[in-house]
Amino acid sequence: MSQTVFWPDDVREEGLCYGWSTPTLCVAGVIHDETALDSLSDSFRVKVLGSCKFERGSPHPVLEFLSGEYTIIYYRRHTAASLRFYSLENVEPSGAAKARQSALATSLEHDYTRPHYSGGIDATVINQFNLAKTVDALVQPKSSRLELSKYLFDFMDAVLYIPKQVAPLVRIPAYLKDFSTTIQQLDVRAEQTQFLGHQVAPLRQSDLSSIHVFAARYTNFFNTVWLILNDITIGVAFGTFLCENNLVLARMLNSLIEIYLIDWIRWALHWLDSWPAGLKLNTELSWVYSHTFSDLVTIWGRVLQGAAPYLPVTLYVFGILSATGMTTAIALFSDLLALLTVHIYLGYLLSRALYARLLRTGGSLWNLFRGKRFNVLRNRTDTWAYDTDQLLFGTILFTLLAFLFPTVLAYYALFALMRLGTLLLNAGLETQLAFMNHFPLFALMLRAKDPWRLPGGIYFGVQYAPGPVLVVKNQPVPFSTIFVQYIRLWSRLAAHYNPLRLLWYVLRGKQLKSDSALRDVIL
Amino acid sequence: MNPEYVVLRRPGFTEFRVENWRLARDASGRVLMGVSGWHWSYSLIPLLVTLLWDHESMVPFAGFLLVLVVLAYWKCTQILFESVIVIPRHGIQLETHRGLPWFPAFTVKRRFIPLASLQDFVIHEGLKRWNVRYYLAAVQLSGSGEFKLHVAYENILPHFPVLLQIYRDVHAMLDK
Repeated sequence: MSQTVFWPDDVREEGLCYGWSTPTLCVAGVIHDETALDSLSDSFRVKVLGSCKFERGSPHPVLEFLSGEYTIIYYRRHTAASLRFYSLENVEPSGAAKARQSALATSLEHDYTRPHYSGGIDATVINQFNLAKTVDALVQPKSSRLELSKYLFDFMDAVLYIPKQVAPLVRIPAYLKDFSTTIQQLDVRAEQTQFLGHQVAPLRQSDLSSIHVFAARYTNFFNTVWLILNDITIGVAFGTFLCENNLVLARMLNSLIEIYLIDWIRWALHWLDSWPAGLKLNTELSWVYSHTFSDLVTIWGRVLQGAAPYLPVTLYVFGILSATGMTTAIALFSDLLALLTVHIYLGYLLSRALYARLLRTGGSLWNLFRGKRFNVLRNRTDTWAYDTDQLLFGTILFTLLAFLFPTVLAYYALFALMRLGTLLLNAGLETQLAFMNHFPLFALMLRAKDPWRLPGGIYFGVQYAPGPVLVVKNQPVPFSTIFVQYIRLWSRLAAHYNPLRLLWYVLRGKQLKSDSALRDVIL
Repeated sequence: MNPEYVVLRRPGFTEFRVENWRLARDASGRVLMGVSGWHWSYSLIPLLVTLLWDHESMVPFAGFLLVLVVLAYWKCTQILFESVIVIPRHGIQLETHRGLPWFPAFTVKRRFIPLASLQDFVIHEGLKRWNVRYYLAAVQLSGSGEFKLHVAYENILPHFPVLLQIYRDVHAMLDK
């Protein structure tokens, strides 16, 4: 049975090879005198394996210490400072695969024909690959720089000094975050700054022997830094645009508010009052509804008109604030939208309360009409013998409700649709915010520029040039792993804002809420 | 018996390759190719391009270009062959080679399963609508204690006689 020897592909000199012999032969390098290894043999467990030489005919080394047949498999040694490494990443199973686990596990356990394998490449060998160059650098007499530039981390420390002190003070309790997106965004920023502040010290003194931990931390740290810097850049550009054009934009915004948020709603309410599409709604109730809501909208319209002259200044202030990041600008606009549509929200609350109450009362009166009653103790509908006066009164009320129902439904439908619209707009802005806050920019850039630094497993490639020989190569992480949080976020959004689900909520009169737990999915 | 199944023995590894063609199952000896090369209708493409070039609206031309791009993409990602490479005592590697037929493959998708985490290499029976299909699977136990099934030859999905041969050869190789 032939042995396999892992040989570094950049070593072409003759001499004594040293390396590891368990679990499989792995050569870390070639030295010329045995004593160079004495200092390292305890910490890295390397030992001298034997002598090797290169013959003129073939580019493959001839290992004289091996008696039988052997095959060479090449691997690449990377310096620790390059942050490239191998990794035997094991895949995460999806939820559906877990159902198969127990069946597979049981059948594998009881299968006596199952072969058992031992030895061969495993995590220890991968660690040896990653350490080979470090050991070689320590063994060779020439000096080499093993450390990453510390100046970068000193600079980051200086920059983060003040934010590190301020950030813990800005942590906001959870109940306040539901009110305003800006507060939420402030909290996210404070958390990010705190995280950065804490990460500088471990990064600076991390020794490079546990390279995958260091690389993960490094990637995370610089991803956050880069995201914030990008954010600020785009924010400054957008802020300049806002500051320069605040008058024009304020005028546009004012006219839009006037047309869509005030006049259109008043027109729609008036339309519903006057036989919409030829349907006759109950005159008195419809009159009450349309005039109440119309007055509500008019009052709010007057408030907004009073605030309209201050809109250019507000936009100017927004422009200045968005220099702290585009995310701040999006959060501010989201809050502005919520503030401007307060009248729709109020109208929705009122009409929904009435509609929901009407539905429930109608439901129980319908049961009465059929001679049944909802038994609260047993949580089911039971037959019940009502008294005659109860039946009479109940039937009269039921008839009243049934005839008033279309009117209530019409006005509720109007406000529910408007509320849906604003909710979807808000959700869109919040999703945008989530994407901008946590985009895996650094990982994507690494994937494009240097896939060796994002290992997601190894594979054996075949090199045909000097005889078919295997080379251990790194397989970069697939995109689905890089974007795993986005996939989760997207599935969560799709589930919450599913049109059928929203329609069901509207029909049942349940309150439409935005997804407040969304931010916990990704943070 | 199944000429699309080729075993390539090299020093250090063995490749069990299934190419994307097969003989007709009615024993007539006819060859059914799974890849398609050049068809005579492709030579009419320049004609269509000239006809659509000077149209007053660019939309049909853009649509035609889109169709061309999709066709070219589909042609260049055809499965050439799939293989299972057994590296004795280290692991098995499942490969899929895609590209233009009769040229070296453009993209290769590889997955290496070390023997340390490989639990078994089996033929599983799968139900696909009303059919029973057999497939070769490598069962891997990941470090976190979860099982994962990797299907070998998952695009070509050869029939049972081929799979049985491959199964026996792979196990003979692994048990040596």
